[in-house]
Amino acid sequence: MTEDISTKPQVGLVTDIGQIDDGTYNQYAYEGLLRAADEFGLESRVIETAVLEEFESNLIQLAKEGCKLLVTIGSRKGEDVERLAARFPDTHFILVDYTPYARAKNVTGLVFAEDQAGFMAGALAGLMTASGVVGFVGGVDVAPVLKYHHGFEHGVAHTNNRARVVHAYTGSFTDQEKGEAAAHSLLDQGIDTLFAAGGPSGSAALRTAAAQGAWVVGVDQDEWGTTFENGSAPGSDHLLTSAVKRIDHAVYTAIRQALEGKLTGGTLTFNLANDGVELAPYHDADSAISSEIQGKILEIRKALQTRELDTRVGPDGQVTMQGFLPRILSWNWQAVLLPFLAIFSALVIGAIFIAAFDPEVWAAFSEGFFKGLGASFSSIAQAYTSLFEGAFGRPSKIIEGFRIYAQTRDDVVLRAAIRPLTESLRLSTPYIFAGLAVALGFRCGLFNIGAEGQYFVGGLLAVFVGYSIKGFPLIIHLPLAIIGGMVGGALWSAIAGWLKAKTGAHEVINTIMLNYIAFRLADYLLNVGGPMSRPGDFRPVSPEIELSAYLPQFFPNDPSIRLNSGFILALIAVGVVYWFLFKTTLGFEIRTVGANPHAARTAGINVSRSFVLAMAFSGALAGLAGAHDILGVLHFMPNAFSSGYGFDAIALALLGKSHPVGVLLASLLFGFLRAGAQRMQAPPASVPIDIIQIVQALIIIFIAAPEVVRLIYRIRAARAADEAVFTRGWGST
Amino acid sequence: MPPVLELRGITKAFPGVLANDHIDLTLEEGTVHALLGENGAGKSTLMNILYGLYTPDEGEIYIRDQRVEIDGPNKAISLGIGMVHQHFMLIPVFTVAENVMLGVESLRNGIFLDPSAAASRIGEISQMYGLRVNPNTYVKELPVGIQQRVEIIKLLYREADILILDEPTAVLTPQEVEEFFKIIRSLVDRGKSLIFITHKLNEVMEIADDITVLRGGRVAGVTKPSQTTQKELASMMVGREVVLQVDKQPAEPGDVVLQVENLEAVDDRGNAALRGVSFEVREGEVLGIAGVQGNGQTELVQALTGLRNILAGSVHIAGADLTNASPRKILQQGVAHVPEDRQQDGLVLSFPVSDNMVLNTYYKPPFARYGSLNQKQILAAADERAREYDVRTPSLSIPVSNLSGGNQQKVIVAREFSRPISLLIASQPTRGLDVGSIEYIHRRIIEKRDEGTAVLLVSSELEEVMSLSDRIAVMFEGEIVDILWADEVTREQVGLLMAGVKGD
Repeated sequence: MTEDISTKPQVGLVTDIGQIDDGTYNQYAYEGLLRAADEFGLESRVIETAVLEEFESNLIQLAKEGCKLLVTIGSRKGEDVERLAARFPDTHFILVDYTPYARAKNVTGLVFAEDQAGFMAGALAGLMTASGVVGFVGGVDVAPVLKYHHGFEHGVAHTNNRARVVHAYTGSFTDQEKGEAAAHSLLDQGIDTLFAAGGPSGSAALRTAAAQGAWVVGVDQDEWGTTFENGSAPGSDHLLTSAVKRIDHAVYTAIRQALEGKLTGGTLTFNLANDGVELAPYHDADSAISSEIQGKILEIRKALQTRELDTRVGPDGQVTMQGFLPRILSWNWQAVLLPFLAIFSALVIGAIFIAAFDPEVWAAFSEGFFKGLGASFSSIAQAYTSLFEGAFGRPSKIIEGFRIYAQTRDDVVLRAAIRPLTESLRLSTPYIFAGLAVALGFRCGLFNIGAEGQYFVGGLLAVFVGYSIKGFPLIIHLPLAIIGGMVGGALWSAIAGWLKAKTGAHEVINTIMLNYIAFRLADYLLNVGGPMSRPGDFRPVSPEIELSAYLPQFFPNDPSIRLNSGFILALIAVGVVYWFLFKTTLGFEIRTVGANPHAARTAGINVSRSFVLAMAFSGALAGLAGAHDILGVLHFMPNAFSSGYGFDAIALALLGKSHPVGVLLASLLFGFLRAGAQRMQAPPASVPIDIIQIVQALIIIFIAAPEVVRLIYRIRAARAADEAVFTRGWGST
Repeated sequence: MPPVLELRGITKAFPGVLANDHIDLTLEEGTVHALLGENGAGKSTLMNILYGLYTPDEGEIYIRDQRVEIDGPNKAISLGIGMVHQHFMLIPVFTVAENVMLGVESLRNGIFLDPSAAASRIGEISQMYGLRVNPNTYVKELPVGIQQRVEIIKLLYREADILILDEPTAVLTPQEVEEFFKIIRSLVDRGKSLIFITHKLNEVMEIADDITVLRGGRVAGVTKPSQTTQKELASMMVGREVVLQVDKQPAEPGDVVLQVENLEAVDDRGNAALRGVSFEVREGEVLGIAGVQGNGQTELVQALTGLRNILAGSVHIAGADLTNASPRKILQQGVAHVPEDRQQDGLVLSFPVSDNMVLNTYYKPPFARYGSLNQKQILAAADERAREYDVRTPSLSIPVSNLSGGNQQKVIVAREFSRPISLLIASQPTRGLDVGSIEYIHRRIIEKRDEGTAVLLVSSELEEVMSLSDRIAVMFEGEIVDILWADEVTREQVGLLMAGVKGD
């Protein structure tokens, strides 16, 4: 190195493969550089890249020689330039046609709204086409080309919704023969207007189409001056215009901003509003384009500029989705479909059982095969009709009930008609609480098998508060009783959580044992003569709770409808658990511990505390289930209190994928099945209750093993499915 | 003489990725053929095809000019192909002899196991190839280097003559590597042919006869050590120029940030893991801990970050006594922790990228206020960090498990480096990453050092410790054997210390 270092600041340009007079982006970047150098008195240095492998070393050379500003084309090697930039913090890299990924102070990308230019070209093409078929030829499907393409398509559709756009990609920016071939194939499809964005390859397509008498639209620069040699090349009278992107202007602007100290990295976008893109003059075609059309194009230009009109093309050239339907279609339907199919399959298999256990079916079969088949069908139909009516009520009766109510204000028939539905919801209520309890445990990686025991203890405390406190109004007494149930369940389960946190004792064992303790505790307390027994009664039951501790009924005048405000409470609990799990820091901690306790600990989360908390919250929910059954349904506590909710809850949590809304849906399903089963048991269906339990079990099996359902219905697995974490194995800590 | 093994045009596609694209490979008899490539270059796929675990979509395999179809490992073994996997396939509670004869048991009278017959064959093999090992010891009692010998004996016992070794030196000390190379030479001398899978360039230059470099599922080059350089191999592997040496200025150490005195701790099984470790790390310097894995480095990092109980001694960070403090307290003191096992300890794989970016700051404003999370702020911060730390992900809300290893590590780096920190504890920060990511993470670490952060680097890659550290502490059996200036010490000196040889 000699000592003749110029005092002028240096700006450099490294071309993409090609030379500075190639008539494409290299040339325009160079022109922008020259203009800036002239105007601001800079020294410019240029290296033309001959082969791609030299590109990086060319940049390094200029950076080492002290270029403070380095302009280059980023579409091919932008990522490498970004990496390089980190090694030369004193050089600012300006990349044409590239969006820098990482934020660095010394990397600026210049991107263009090709979609806007393409949209205007398309609008013009749509107005000019006579055949109603217009064509697009692309080089390689990189973002700028895609933006031209989709902008063009949307532009055509904007002015001519009957026109069709056909396209072809040559796979190259340089292969002229492929460009010609692409033009021919599109011409064969009947196009009379062609837009091409593909470097020399695309220009060749334009020349070919123009020679055949089609209208053509150039790209990037005014191709009238390049491809059509200032109008001296044949076909130049068929060049409508060009979708121009002002690389020279962009490079000049970026250099100017750099000198003003305003260039701080990131991306500069050049669009219609800041003269980054435009349509070239119409030249020889001017007379062919009516003034009406020219006016229309000006309108569209203005609308695009003010953002009144959107090209509906994203920054990567993809078509942006709008409207309701595409959003619906992009949903994950599998998540909905799989449980539905599981239920369906279970009902089908259940049907086989129903038929197989019906003596009438057997009798019919002995008379003949088809008779048997018919009897099976009617048996199944009868059973499932009863199931449906037991769960939802008979639709005709409900309609009838509404009619009578509307006419006479008499709701007796209506109440009778909706009774099955309300009973289903009532049965769902404790399921919801208990299912949420187990789901919350699962989220923390805890297998709370003790919901049953917590339900018991919750019930005990709720009933105690309910009968022992007297003389308070409902507004105080009822909340106290509910809180009593929650506290009872929470304390009971927190024991297991605390044992796990302190000693590592597995919660499955401990909660099972606590279940037994709870059952026997209830036995002792409620036994005749026991501390909580009803005085003077020979049954092992507690006293009746005060009226002020009753959960209000929806139909206080009709004791046969047992649905009470506990159901509302359950819905609120779903919302609260959702909010707690996903919107609070405590929920975040619990989910983190559940998903990866090691990472949780490393991140400073108190894993022990999370265990205790999650167990306590879980128990509180199970306790609520107990409180509901006491305060809303029974109003006293018998020692044979349980109905297996605590164990069904495990299935519910699995079924609902440990998600509160999933649990809600699963609980409703179980509530409906249980209510329906009662009807199914009764004549005329007289199906044993075991069948319904078989159906429930089958649903769980199918849900727990989605692969089985996928296999039966040939559904392919969704990629990277985000399965909820349940618990780790027995041996884990 | 025909080549012992020839792969022609092997092609294997998985959904969305062409793992092997018309790969040719020729293994000459009695030579070592190195298969070089980054993670994801297609090495494992190719070897799994050769071992019969995958069926190729296209291509042919020839053994001594005979076309063969390999439809399973049993077929591969019967053709004389054997493989030592990166993770050993040994049963710890069995003896060496039992492990070796597993699957091809020698029997007495047709029913009883005959370990002594196996033992004597093992003795012969040991003798012949210099693979010294006692057939009657339990595998769990053997050091890793010897376990590897058992794996090789297993192959020789089955009379394999084409041996595939998958990253065999990853678990060895420099001295063990030397020993291992001797074994390789003796195998080759006796006519065995080896395929040696690795990404360590210096080893390739030393041991290979032929080199095939894979990149992106294709053969990027075929060469010989005599005709190439490490730099050239590296650029073949990565597809661009690679900076092998970390660019850094001399350190300008300031005040002591981390002061460790006479630290003692036990490992998970209750054995002493740290036996009175003392050292200090100053502002603006990198202290590298060198050592063969399992000499207390893991426990040291855990003790410093509050994850392991300290039995004796003390830890002071920036003047505060943090002996047995809670992990959160230590993190709040300005300690960044890049854990050794990023998937187990550093990330919650099922959580979105954004949540992982705030895994230890989620409770602080602006991410949370009054215990309620602000997802908008979390996403905004995650977006900013992803850009700043060049995390390539299609979306911030996809599970972090979908990201490549390099990008997962960048998530951790982004999270830890974007808090105000005074001490960085980085444990195996580049394990299993591709060269591009390694380069990136090294640069970020040096940047942190230059900003005045004290850096404690733990790595079992000696190269990494040598190139990043300003001072090197060598750990052996729970003690720091010596602390040396990085620019005054050679690889060999550190290697000897790592093996517990203390030269004076």
